[in-house]
Amino acid sequence: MEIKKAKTVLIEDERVLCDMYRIKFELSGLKLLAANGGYEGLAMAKKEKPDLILLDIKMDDLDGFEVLKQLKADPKLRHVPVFLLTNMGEKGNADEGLKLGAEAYIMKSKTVPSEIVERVTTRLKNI
Amino acid sequence: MIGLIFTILSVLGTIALAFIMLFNNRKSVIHITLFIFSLAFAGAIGSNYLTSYFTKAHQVLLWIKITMLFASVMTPPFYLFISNFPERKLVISPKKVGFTVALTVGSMLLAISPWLFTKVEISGDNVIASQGPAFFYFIVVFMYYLVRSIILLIRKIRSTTGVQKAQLLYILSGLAISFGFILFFNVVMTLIFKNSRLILLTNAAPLIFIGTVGYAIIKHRLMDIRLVVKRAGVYLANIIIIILIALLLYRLESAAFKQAIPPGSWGPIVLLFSLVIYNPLKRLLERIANKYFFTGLYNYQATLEGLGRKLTFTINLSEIVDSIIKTIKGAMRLDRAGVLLYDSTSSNYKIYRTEGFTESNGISLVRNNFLTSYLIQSRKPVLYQELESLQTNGNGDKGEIAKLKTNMSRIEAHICLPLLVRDKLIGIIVLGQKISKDAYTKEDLRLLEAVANQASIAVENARQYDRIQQFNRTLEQKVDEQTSEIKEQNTHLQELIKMKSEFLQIASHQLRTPLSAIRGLLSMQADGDFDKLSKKEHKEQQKKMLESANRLSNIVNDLLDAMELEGGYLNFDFAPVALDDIITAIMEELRPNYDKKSLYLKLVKPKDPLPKIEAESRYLREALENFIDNAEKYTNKGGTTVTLSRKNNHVVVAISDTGIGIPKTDMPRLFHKFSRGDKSSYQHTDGSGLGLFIAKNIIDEHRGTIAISSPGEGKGTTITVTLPLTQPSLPKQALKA
Repeated sequence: MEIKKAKTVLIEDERVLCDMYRIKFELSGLKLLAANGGYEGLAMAKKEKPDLILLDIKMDDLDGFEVLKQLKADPKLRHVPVFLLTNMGEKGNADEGLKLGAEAYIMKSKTVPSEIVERVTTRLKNI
Repeated sequence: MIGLIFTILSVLGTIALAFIMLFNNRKSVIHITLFIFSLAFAGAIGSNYLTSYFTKAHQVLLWIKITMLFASVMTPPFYLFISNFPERKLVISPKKVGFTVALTVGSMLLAISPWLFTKVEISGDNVIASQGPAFFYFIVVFMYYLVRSIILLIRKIRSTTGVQKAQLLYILSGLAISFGFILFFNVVMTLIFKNSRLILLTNAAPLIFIGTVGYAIIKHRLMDIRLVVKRAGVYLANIIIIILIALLLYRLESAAFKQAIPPGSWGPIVLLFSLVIYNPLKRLLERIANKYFFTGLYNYQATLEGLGRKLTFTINLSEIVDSIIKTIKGAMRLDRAGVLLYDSTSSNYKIYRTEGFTESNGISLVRNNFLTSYLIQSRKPVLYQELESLQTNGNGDKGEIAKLKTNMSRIEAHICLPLLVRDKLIGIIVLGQKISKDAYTKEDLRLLEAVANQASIAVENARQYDRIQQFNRTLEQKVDEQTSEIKEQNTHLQELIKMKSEFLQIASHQLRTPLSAIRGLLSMQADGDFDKLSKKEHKEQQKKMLESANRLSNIVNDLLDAMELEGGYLNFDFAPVALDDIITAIMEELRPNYDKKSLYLKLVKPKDPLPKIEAESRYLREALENFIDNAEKYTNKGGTTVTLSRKNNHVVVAISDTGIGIPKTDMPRLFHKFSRGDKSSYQHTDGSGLGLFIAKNIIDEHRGTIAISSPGEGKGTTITVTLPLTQPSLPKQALKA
C-alpha cells in the first residue's frame, strides 16, 4: 500500500506524547490522527477506518485493553492491525495484549519516535 | 489326773488374764471390777475342783464353803463392771457401790458361816451337802446380780453405738458362749448321753469368757464379734455334730448288733468318718450362717460387683462420683458420704460432692495437711475411732491428730478413705457413720478399700479423659484462633503484595512517561527534526522537554521523599515556627494558579494571634502546600478557605474547598501511595500520586492528625490538620525505642 495515503490513528491521553508523535509522523510524511483518551479513540477509529492503530494502555477513561477488545469485536475494524504503545511494564501486559489481538507491544520509554515510524512504515507496506 | 491338769491350767490362765487386764489400766474402774470378777471366777473353779478331790466330809465341806466364798464375789463386781462400762472413771453412785459391797460382804460372811451349808455326808461315790437356812438368801443375791447384769448389758447394747456397742456385744457373746459351753458339757453330755468324761471341758468356759471380755475392753479394734461368733459357731457346731453322729452310730450299733465292732476300732472309724464329712458339713453350716445371720456380707460382694459394672459404663466424672457415693452410702447404710478431689490449679482438695453432710460445718478436712500426708504415707483409711490409739501409740504429731479429731467430729465424719493412684492422693472419700450406729468392722474396711481402689482408677480415668477433652478444646480453640490470625495476616500480606505490585506498575509508568517524552523529543532534536519546524513550534517542543524533565524530577523527588519517610530516614529538626507565616507563603506561591482559574483563596485568622508551634518548617510547608494545591486542582468554581484556630494545646488548620468532593468509598485509600480518587484521575495524571501519602507522613512525624470530610460529590472537601504546639524534647528515634 502506498505509505502517503495510509492513515494511522494514535489513541493516547498524554498530551506531550501525542504532540511529539504527531510531529514526527508528519515530518516523516505519514498521516497520524491523534485521539485523546479511549472513548475518543474508539469513536475516531470507527469514523476514520484507519489502516493501523497505535494504542496506549494506561488511560484514565477507558484503558487500552478495553479499547482493543471493542476494536476486535467490531467487524469493520477487526482486521486493522493494532500496535500497543505503552509505558506499562511488559510483564503480563504484553501477553494479554497479544492475546487480545494486538500485533505488537512497544515500550515508549525504550523506543524513540523514529523507530516507531519505521515499524509503522514497514507494517503499512505489507498491507 | 487329766482333770487336775485341766483345772490348774484353767485357773492359772484365768488369773493370768485377770492380771494382764489389771496392769493394762490399774486406775480404771472397769478393769478393777473385771479383775476382781476374774480372780473370783478362777478361785471358784479351783476350789470347786478340790471339793471332789477330797474324800473326808469335813474337808469337802470346807472346800464347798471356799467355793461359795469365791462365788459370792463373782456377780456383784460383774454388775458394777457392766454398770460403769464403758467409762474408766467411776460413774456409778457411791451409794450403789456401798450397797453392793455390803451385800457382797454379807454373802461372803454367810458363805463361811455354818448357815449356808450345814454338813456333808459321803456315802460311796455320792456326796450330799445339806443346805442351811441362808442358802436362799445367798442364791437370791447371786442371781439378782447375774440377772441384773445381763438385763443391763442387753439394754446398754441397745442404747450404745459404735465401738462401745461392739464391745458390749463381745461381752454378751463371751457370756453366751461360756454358758453354752457349760450347759453343753455339764448338762447335755452328762444328763442326756451319760458321758461325763468331757465335763472337764467346762473348765475352759472362764477362759473363753474372760478372754473375750478382756479382748473387748483392751484390744478390741474393728472386729465384728458377729463374725467371730459365726466362725466359732460354725467350728463348734461342726465338731458337736460329728461327735453327736458318732455317738448316735455307736449307740445304734450297740443296740442293734450287740457291739459287733470292737470298741477299740471306733477311734479310726470316727476319725475316717469325720475326715470325710468335716469339709462338706463346714461348707453347709457356713452357707446357713451366711444366709440367715449375715446377709450384709453377701450384699457387700454384690455391691462391689455392681459398682464395678457401673464404673465401667461411664467416663463421666460426675456420674462416677455419684455412683461411688450412692453405692457406699446405700450398701453400708451410712448417714453421710462425700468425695473430695485434688484440684491442681489450687493445689488443694476440694469438695466435689457430698450427701448428708451439714453444709454449714463445711468440710474442714480440706486443708488438713496432716490428714493428706498421713493418707499418702499409710495408704490406709483414717478412722475416727482409731485416732485415739494413733494419738497414744502413733508417731504422728499429737497436736495434728487432735486437730484432725476435732475436725472429723465437727463434721461428724468417721472415716477418711484415700483415693490413691500410684503414690498420688487424687482424692478422699469422707464417710459418716452407719445409721444403725454400729461400728465399722474389718470387713467393712476391706470392702471400702476395694471400693476405693476401683473408684481411684475410675476417677483418675475420668479426670484424664476430662483433661484430654479440655486439652482438645483448648487446642481446637488455639488452632482456630491462630488460623484466623494467620488468615488475617495472610490477607493483609496479600493486600500488601498487591499494593506493592500496583505501586511498582504505577511508579514505573509515572517515571517512564516523562522519560519517554524527554528521550523522544531529544532524539528528534538530534535527528534535526526540529529544524523543519516553525520557530514557535520549535520553542514549544523545547518547553515541553523542560516540563517533562521537571515532572520526572518531581516524581523522583517525591518517590525518594516517600521512601525516606517510610524508612524513617528523614531528620526532623523541630524549631518554633509561626504557622500563619508558612500559610501566607504557600498562598503567595499558589495564588497565580488560583487566579488562572478565577478561584478565590482566603485566609481566616483567629482574633488572638496564634503562638508559634514547634515544627520542621520545610516539611510542614510541603505538606500544607500539597493540601492547598490539591484543593485548587479539584475545584473549578468558588475557591478555597484556609482557617486557622487554636484548640487547647493544638493549632488547627482547616482547608475547605468548593470542589468535586470525595466519595465515601475513596476515603480509606486516600493516603495510600499512588492513590487518587477515581474521579480525580480524569483530570490530573501528571502528579506523582504520592502527595497525600507524603503529607500524611509529615503530619504524623509532627504528632498531628488529619481529618477529611466531604458532604458528598460536588459539595467540596475540608481537610483539617491538627498540630500540637510543642514536640517532645527527645529525638524521635529515642522515643520510638
